[in-house]
Amino acid sequence: MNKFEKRYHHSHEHDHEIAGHHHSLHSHNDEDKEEKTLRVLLAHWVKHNKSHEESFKEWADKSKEMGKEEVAKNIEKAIEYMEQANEMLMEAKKHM
Amino acid sequence: MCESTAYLCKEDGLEKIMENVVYMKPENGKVYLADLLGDQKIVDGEVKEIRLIDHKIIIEEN
Repeated sequence: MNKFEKRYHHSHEHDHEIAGHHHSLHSHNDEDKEEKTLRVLLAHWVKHNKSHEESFKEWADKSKEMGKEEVAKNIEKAIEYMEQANEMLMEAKKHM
Repeated sequence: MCESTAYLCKEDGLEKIMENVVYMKPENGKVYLADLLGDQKIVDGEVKEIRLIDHKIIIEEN
C-alpha cells in the first residue's frame, strides 16, 4: 500500500502508541479530516483577512476625507499588522 | 467583510439591494433584512441561496 492509500484508506479504529502516550480507539479518518480542515482554514483565513484589509483601506481613505488623520493612521497600522498576520499564516501553511 | 450583501435575482443578473447585512429572516414569503446601522428592508420573495464564503444572500422575488 502506498503513502496515499495509507493516508486515505487506513481508517479502522485501533490502539496505538505515540511517544509512549497511549491513545485508544483512535481513528485516522478523524486525524485526516482535522488535517484537511486546517489546511483549508489556513488558506481561507488568509483570503478572509485580505477582504478585511480591503475594507480597512477603504475606510482609512474615507477617514482622511473626513479629516480624521489619526483614525486613518491607526487603521493603516492595522493593515500592516494584518499583512504580518497573513505572512505568519502562509508560513504555517508551508509546514503542513 | 463578515457581513453579507443581499441581492435580488433578476433576469439580467444580480441586483444589489443591501450592503453590510447583519440580520436576515425569511418569513411567510417575505425576507426581512437589516444592516449594520439598523436600516431595514422587507422584500417579497424567498431566499434562493446563501453563499457563505462570498457573503452573498440571493433572494428571488415573488
